[in-house]
Amino acid sequence: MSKFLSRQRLNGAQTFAVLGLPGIALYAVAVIIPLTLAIRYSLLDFNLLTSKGPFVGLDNYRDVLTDPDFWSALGFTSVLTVYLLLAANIGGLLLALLLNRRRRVFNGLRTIAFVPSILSGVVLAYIWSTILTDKGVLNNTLGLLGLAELQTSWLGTPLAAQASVIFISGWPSIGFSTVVYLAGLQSIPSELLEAASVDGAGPVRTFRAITWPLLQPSLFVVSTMMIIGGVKSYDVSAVLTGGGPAGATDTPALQILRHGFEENRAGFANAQAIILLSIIVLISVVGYTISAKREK
Amino acid sequence: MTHRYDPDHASPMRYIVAIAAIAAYALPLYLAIINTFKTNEQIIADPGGAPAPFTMGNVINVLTNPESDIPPTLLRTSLITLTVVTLVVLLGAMLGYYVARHDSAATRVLMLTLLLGLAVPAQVLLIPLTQTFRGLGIMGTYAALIISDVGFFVPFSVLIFSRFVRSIPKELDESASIDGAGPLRSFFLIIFPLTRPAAASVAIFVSVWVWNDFVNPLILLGPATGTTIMAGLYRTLGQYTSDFGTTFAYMFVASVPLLILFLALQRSFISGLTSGSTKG
Repeated sequence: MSKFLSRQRLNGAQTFAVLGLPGIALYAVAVIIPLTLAIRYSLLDFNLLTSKGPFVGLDNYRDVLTDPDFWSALGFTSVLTVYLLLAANIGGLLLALLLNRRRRVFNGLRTIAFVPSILSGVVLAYIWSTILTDKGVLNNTLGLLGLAELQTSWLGTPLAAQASVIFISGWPSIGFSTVVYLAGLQSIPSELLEAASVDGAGPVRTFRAITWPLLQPSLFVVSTMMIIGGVKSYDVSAVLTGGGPAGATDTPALQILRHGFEENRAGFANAQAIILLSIIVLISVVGYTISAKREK
Repeated sequence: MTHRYDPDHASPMRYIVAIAAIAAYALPLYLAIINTFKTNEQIIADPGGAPAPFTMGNVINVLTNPESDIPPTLLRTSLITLTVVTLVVLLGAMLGYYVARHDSAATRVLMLTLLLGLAVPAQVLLIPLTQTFRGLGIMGTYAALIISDVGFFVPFSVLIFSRFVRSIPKELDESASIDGAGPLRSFFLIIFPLTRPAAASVAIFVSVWVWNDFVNPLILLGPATGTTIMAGLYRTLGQYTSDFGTTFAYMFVASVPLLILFLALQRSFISGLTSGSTKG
């Protein structure tokens, strides 16, 4: 018996070593150790070049939380996130309702709508920059339409640049959420819709009583992705405006990279990173709790 | 008069509105494609017009210019993506299987730790990663990029695979073990082949992310090592501001591999990328 048990135990440990350990080891090197180091650096006046720095306690956190640039970046990111939520859910739902026909043309349109979701942020942002630069397609077209008074420097004035970055960040999201909502719509059993139509329910009534309640999982998927994507966003600003003009389109994620790598303020950058991570963990926990309650 | 209920009936009006809406939505894509095949003079004079004359000059120029080094970069990016995807799928499937079949306090703590990893943005890890990799002496090597990408996506992969393995009846493992197969054999011979849909989702999500990423390669590979295609594109954007044709062609060449894969595997692409809603 004891022999049997010890063989089992050895087997169990070996199984874990082969199946579990490689994944855990790489996860530790790439995520857990860096995360622990990030917390450590955030408490130091850390210098990346010498890999050293004196302990300064919570000074970095105080500096971040009293830095007006951090708050303005967080404010801009919040507006961007709210726009993403609205644009992806409203625009995506409307387009999905429009495209919800199993016909070849509509399937083709769905494919086109999804293309921006697989393009790199660098590519998206550069395509839009050729449209939005001072002598770009948009100002040209406005001129041709006799709307020259609407021409502006879309990337060069703070308010227009903020609007541009927000609008462009929403562009791939709308196609993405269209496809998610379409999948939701097409998973609704057609008998339900047919029964509603036989009972004489109009399209509005059917939507409110059947379609919308059954689209809640799609709403949840799209909203989670938009909130988390919005809070971490950086690539459109990085390529299109570099965070400018005058920091107007700066996001916390972009500031972390700049403070850390360009300005060698690693302690400050890591404090900012830990604050950003806390915000995302908080949002995830709230989202998870809501979805767990729903499933009950 | 009887109406036959047909949920897929589409009126001509719906066709017109749908086509117009997607045409408006896809206008930037149209601009990017047509300008790839136009001369610089025409791009500046008439950015919205169809190519006249049609030219492959920009694409040929980008592919043959030794300075931009694009064909080797495409090959390098494919190899890096393939390596990362293979490791993420394999390690995630093994760990996911282990977690799904060994429910204990320890595996639950492990799952929680992995869930934390789902929420961590890549930027939070980059500064300390450079220090870790410098310490290991691999900063600036492909190993650094591959290790960080694989480790970053292990949690996502484990989550997808563990969910999938739980839907496979345990009796399957048990009957294999009665036949004398150990846990490793029953995983590799019986379970892993069944997890294809999960593997496809993970592989597609991770390929798109790794192919399109430009920040990790810029920082972890540094300037000395040959870079990936999007990091290369990001670097060139500043240099050729006046040479629009070349830039459009660069973007075209950098995006086409994923686009072809997408058109060939549309269904798996969509389910794979939407499964990413769990990756924070």
